[in-house]
Amino acid sequence: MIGVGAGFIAIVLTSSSPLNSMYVFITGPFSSIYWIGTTLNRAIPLIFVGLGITIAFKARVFNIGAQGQFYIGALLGTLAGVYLGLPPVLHVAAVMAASGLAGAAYAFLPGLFKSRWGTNEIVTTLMFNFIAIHLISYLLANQFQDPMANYNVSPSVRSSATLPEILSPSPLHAGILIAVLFVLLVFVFLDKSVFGYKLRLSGLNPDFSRYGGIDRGVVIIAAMVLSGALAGLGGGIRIIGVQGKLTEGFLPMVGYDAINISLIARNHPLGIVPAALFFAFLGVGGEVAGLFTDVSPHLVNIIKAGIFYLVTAQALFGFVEKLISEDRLESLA
Amino acid sequence: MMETLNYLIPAAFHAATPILFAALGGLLTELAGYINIGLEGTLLTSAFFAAVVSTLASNAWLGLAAGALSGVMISLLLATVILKLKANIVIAGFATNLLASGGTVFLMSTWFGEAGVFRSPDMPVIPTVDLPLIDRVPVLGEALNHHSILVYLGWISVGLVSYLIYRTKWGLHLRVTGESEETALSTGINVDKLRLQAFLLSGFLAGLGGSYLSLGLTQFFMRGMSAGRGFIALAAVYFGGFTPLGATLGSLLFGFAGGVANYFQTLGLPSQLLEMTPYVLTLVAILVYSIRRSSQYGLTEEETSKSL
Amino acid sequence: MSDSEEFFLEMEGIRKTYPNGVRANKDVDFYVRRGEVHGLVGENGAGKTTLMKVLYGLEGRDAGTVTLDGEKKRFQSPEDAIRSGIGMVHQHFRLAPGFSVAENVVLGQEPGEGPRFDFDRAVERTGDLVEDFQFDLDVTSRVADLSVGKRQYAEILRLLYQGAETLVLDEPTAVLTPQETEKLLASLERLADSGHTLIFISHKIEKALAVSDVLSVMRDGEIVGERVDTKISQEEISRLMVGREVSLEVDRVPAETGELVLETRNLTVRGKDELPLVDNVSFGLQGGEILGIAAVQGNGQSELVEALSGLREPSAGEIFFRGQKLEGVSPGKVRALGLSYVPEDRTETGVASEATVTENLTLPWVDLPGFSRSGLLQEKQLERKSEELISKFGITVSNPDSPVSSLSGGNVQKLVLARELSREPKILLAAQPTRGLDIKTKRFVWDELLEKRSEGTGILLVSSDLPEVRALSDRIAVVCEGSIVARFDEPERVSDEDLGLFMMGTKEEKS
Repeated sequence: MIGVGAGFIAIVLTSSSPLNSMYVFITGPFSSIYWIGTTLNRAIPLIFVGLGITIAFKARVFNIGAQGQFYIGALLGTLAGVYLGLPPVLHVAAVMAASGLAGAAYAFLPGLFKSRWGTNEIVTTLMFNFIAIHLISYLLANQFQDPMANYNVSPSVRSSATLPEILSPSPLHAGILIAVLFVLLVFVFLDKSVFGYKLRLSGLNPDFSRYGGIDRGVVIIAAMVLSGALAGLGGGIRIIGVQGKLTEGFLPMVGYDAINISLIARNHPLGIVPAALFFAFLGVGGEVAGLFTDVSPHLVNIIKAGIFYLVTAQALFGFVEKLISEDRLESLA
Repeated sequence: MMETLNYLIPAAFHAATPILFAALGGLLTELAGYINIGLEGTLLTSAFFAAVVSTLASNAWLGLAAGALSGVMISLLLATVILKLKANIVIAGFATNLLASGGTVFLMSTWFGEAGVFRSPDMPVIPTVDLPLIDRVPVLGEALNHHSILVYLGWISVGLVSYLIYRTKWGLHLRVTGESEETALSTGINVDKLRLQAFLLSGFLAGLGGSYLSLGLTQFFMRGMSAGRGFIALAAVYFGGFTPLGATLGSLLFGFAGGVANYFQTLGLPSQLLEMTPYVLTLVAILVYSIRRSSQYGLTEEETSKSL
Repeated sequence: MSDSEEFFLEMEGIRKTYPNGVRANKDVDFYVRRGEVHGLVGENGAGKTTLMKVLYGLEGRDAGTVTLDGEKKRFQSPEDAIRSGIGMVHQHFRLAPGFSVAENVVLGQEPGEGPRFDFDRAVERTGDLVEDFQFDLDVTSRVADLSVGKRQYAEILRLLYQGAETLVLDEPTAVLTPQETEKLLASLERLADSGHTLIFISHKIEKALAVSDVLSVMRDGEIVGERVDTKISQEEISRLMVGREVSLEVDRVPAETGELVLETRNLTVRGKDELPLVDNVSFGLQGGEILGIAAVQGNGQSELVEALSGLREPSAGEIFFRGQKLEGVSPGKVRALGLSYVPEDRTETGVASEATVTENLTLPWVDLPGFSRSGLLQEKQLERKSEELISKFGITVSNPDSPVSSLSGGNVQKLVLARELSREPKILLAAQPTRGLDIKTKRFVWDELLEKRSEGTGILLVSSDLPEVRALSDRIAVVCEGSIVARFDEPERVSDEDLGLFMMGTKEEKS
């Protein structure tokens, strides 16, 4: 974690931004209720998808398809939000159910392929991502288009499905509460439940678990389905919390950011929240800086790229640590 | 009909060329054991630098060189992070793409004040040539002629890469390293150096492909212009079963699909479903491949996912 | 005693301690003459492999010198060693399975001008070597299609191609039948005759004696018998190796057998080419007896065990567990019927190394009522169970929450046994249960198996360790190429040679 922070600072310095910009970047997200709320908002989908990725990674299933599952969840969530007529609480629940189930269903096939035939899930989920993107693009241009808008967007979700704002004047919505709830649920599942234990053991050593009576195929499918459900749920909540309608290409990196977040959090559900907040902070900081200083918002992407690199290079830090302690041991012996 | 064909086939070749270069590069890293997710970013980066240098130096060849070089550089970065720092290939790949997309726009706006498109009316581009005998080829003759040098270079590259992989010592080392690192190490093969070389070559090839994007297929640089081609190239590699010919076939097929999709767009027809096809086809191909492999009993999970 | 001019290879004062504290070599002196076959014998863990790894550059040494042909050497890597003509054939081969023998052999020094790889020439040169030493090998065949014995030849070929004058072979006969071993030893003699120097590491005294000119015996990291004449008796060597009279005697009272707990009829398992790996196997196992399956690696016994444990679906035939027919593949089902399984590869399939000791030990109990409630784990109960098993089986571990990877090999096997035996199984499948274990742990395992036997468990023992099979089994079945070729209801009456012949398929009995 320290390394990540250090790298972040190093990159910012080398990009020749004036000190003021840095200051704005770092403090911006905290500078007002509005910005705090926005930051938290940004973290919500990251938390959901991150939780999903954590489950998958624990089972040694590399779900790169969270982006697609997120979108498909958003799609079905929007549909439920637009076309169903229910009282508010029920409507929200319906949207959540629809988006979760959609994400789960979309993740089911890659899971099935891997469990049945060992098909590499990295490639299949990647393909499914692109398929989802194009599918939504198609639908928004044709069947599912708001007739009154002049670009590709869906009709708006009904107000009975929208999540209330809880921290005016910021756009922060109730989704954050739901997110925290799910963090706890996932934690209990992984750590305390029998199936969670089996899933983890299977992820640690699939062959051993199989011989011990744990069906690896079931675990793989379950991991993908749960992972997809959470990602899809994140999509649905994003729609009813912030956007109100489905557009093309929103939050295009959430699925991949979530992978990073999960790695930072060492695949631990409780660590997802701070990691997600960190990423949200990065994103919002960049926006603020972009608005109020002369720093290009694209700088954020560069910084994020740096973080990505450093995060996965965490192996390096562990390695360096070991080297240091080994050296010390040898000089003692 | 001939009219449309004569329009479509060249269009397919043009569209396929950047994909082909990237796919050949992706094949090399794949054989070394790595899925090169960063191809997308490499294409973008090289497209940018090719356009910029070509304009500033008023010389398309220098632009091409710059493009290829930038491809190598960014692959060097990716390779270093993966090999030296033991980063995860998928994440580092996406990081590279992020770096490329953010970086090119950043540079574009900082250097030229443009946020969307970098265009210069006098920018020299890679010339097209007429090959003497090609138009004698029946049916396709006309369509095969009069292409950019880079397109022909692409075809030649297929042969070169094939030769490299199957007929040289380096190629043998590469394939063995990808299959069994232990074996390679035990014979004194410098596995890390080999992998680095694979990445650099991959970057070079993708760099050529990216240069074609801005110096051939179009004559400008636009933000995000790689438009997923890097991933389509990966799809082509998988679709083609990790062989140069297969990757070429995949690139042509997918390039064709892309070309037709564009055509549809100009006609106002829905193109998205068509754009989906490369991914769907690859999915099917991989599925078939793994169904066949799984009928070999006793493969542990690690072994079956060794195709990475 | 050591005259420097005489010896081709001298290792003096070698010391090596591993990071985990194990002192593998304590001041070892080792001398080899040019052109001799030198056997290096000792128990598992005596330090033989370490000594050779130090020689070969795979491990660094803490102290000592290595002198080759009068020059002091320090090899940093195997490539270094090979350049000076020393090559080592490991227990785990370094071959790329998808490529031909020729490609594997020339890898690293391929023929061809410049960057070009001349495959035909590679085949030619490899073929020449094969002819010179009369190995029975087709150099264009894919390594993946070859038997283990042939792969070993490929390894040796590679070293010869690279110019090795001195070959170190680490347990080369471990994977061979007696007959294949004969062939190998003959090949080795030919190599020695043509001027090569051979160092032959083994814990099997007989084999080493058969081919060596001279032996060195190691025990506990030290040389206890230096350049010993091969004319001395096996017992004396054995005593040197172990430091005491080896008692491989087992008190086995006659079996009191009960019901038929396991039965197979016409069991067949097919592999990828539709060839039967297990071919029409029928046998019965009763409670309270140990049925030993004697077979050389690769003759179908692994697949047989996989089928019996529910890990693999049989292509034909039936399996009955205590009278109930097994339908469909499921380890879970089979375990529920009272089967326990101690796998061959304990670290890979026997445990999840990164999980804790407790998590590994308590897996079988997790679904049971006392240990989980409505889907949630009851951690206290599980901890208690774990501690119970740790003390009962004497597993050395400081903290049950530490990962299994911190345990030594012997303790890992104890863990696996603890878990499998404590389930009070009716049927126990034990595959190579003492492979790689030291003598004390080996006895422990044997005692546990015998105890279960007296409690009425039916045990199927699959082992390529013939003395073990003999000592423990009430009945022996020999498996060769997937089918049972001989059955012995009184194992004392059969000799090792005969068993070997059956294992090889040379002899066949009408059963």
